[in-house]
Amino acid sequence: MDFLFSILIEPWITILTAPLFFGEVVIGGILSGVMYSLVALGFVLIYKASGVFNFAQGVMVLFAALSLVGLMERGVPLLLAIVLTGLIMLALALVIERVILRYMVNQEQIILFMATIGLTFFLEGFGETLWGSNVKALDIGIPDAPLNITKVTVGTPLLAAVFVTAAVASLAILVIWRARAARRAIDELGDSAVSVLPGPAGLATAVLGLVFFLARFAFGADAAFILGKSSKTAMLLASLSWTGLAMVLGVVLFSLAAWLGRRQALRDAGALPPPLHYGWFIALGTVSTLAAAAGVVWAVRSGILINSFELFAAGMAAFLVIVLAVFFQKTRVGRALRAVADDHAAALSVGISLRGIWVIVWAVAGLVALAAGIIWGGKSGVQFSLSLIALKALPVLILGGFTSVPGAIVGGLIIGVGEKVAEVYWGSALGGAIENWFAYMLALVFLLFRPQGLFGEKIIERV
Amino acid sequence: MKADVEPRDSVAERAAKGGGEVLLSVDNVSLAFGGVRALRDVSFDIRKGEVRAIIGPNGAGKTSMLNVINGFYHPQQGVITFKGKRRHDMRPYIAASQGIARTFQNVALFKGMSTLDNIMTGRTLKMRRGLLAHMLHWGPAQREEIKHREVVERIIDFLEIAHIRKVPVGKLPYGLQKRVELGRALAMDPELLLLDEPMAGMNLEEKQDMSRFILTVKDTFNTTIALIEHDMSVVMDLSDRVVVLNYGAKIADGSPAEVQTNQAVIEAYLGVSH
Repeated sequence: MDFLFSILIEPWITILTAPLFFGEVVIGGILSGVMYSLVALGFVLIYKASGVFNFAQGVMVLFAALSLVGLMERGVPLLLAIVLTGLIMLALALVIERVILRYMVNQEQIILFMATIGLTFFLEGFGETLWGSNVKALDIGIPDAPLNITKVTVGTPLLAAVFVTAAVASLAILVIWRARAARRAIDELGDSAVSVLPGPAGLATAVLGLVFFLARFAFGADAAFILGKSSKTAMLLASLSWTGLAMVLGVVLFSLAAWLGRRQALRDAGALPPPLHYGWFIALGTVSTLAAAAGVVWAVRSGILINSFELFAAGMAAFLVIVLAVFFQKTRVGRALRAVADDHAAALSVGISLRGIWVIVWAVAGLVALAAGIIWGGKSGVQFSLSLIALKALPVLILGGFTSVPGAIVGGLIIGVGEKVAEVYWGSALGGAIENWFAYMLALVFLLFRPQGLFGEKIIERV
Repeated sequence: MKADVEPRDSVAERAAKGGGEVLLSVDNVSLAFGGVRALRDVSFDIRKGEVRAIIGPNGAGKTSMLNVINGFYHPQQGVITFKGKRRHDMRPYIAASQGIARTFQNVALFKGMSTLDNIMTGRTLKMRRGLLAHMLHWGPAQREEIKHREVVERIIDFLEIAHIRKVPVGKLPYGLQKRVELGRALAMDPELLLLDEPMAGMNLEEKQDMSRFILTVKDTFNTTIALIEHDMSVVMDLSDRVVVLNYGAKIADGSPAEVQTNQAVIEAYLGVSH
């Protein structure tokens, strides 16, 4: 019972009694998650454009960081060194295309994958031959220390407001999402295809929730009344019943969203008069998301400690993501990249030059590796183990989906936050150091339920 | 798209006239993979505005021939002349930019992309604006995108696939995928369209639709078409001239009626008893 208490109840009590500290943990998690995302991005790029998992991405990060430090050690100023390293990464992309990829047109993807493994070993040795294998420090002039902001107390009302707006935002987003799904289903299968009633999974959840909710009354009266308010068993039962209530409410909410979404979809299709415009939900979602964000910013300004180095990393990642997303979705080259990933022969037949595309993609991946190298090298020094952060990118990719740029970001955030929160609040109960394996456990669970990841392209198999 | 429309000659008229000027000619082409001789000393030509069928039993080298024409395979011997320019072999990029488009025997589409995006890739070579301009959605780049989008929308309407514009093509049934593939090739404004078994695996209705599209493409867009097909009734209806391959060598060349009565062709298809 003590064990259950320490993993089911105690963390929540700690969170609720010290919300500011929780905020710090979450923000710390977000920022370190962004750094995972940076590495994951490089994988996504190459996977999107050639359908190949680039085993060498981690080593490219190491190689970029090594070159940067090597140049700086020879007296090149930081900015110039970054530009020069960028050029080195471009040259590397050209050489990789010329020496390896050119001979891989129309080959099985596993062969390309094996080629990237070979590249890994080569780059590892080449980088260390060129720049030396000793551990080096990379100083990019941004202190790895908390920003100095005067502390002001944050009141409970503010936190409550943040939570409420966040809830409203998620409901609105849920409605938009359901509306889209409903519209797609209506397009494909007709009006009657969209059910607003919960399916078997939803019903099971609701029933289970009801059982949980009633569990505290198993003793004939409220458990707290019989066992005493501070009894651990009573607290467990109480929290179980709250969980049950939340589950029932969740199912109801989901059905509500499905119903609203279906009405919206029918309205869009012209089958219902439009008293409420679709845009309202978008507006509502946007406004409340912004409000929640503003609340977080305010809380931060009022005294939550933030690491300035990690803030820099986050800004850089955000910038990269926006640029890359636009690049893939809006440009001719982006379209060509996606085309090459799907079918080499077809891409050639419409006049897309595979070589050009591959150079572009490896160059971009090299630049992303440089960004990750700057951040990670600055944080933990430049050494061989830098190439192992690639391993941390794997769960991020599994969560976010191998083909999605936003997925790499969201996946990174979930892993970063989950890891930190789990370590701080659940770590001691589970024997500590769970930060090391938590991400992989999470990835495993995801593989069971959503193998294509949160944002990945659905795996379509026609039989 | 070309505006001038040439009235379609009947097969007989065309045969009598001897056809238009030569658009592509293949001279003494030989192609071998190790010991396997896929093409042996094949020569034929394709004239402007005609539908040229390439037929033959399985393994006769028909697809290899198309792959040579659009540069996927490089023949060991022979010369390919396209639009008056003699080349020892083609390269896919040159073929595409000179106006040769193709479809594949097993549909080769970009499965994760929508119908619209798939057909838009056909316009790749026609788009000129730089990467940065596209990313910023800068005026000229936006106008360019819109201009090409209009062309693509017209093709989509023509092929009657407007209802699946936004659907990822991997989800579409086979017959529609074939149509999208034709659309992508048409988006390249080709002068020569290579169709590798456009009707394979289709039911009668789909075959009729596809035949209608091919004839309309030929007549209204004035596109020259080279076509591989197994369904003989389709070949006889659609094509102006037929070349027959067997074991990589040309065994007959002429109008559908001539080819049909050719003894070598009959033997190749039905076998011969000695």
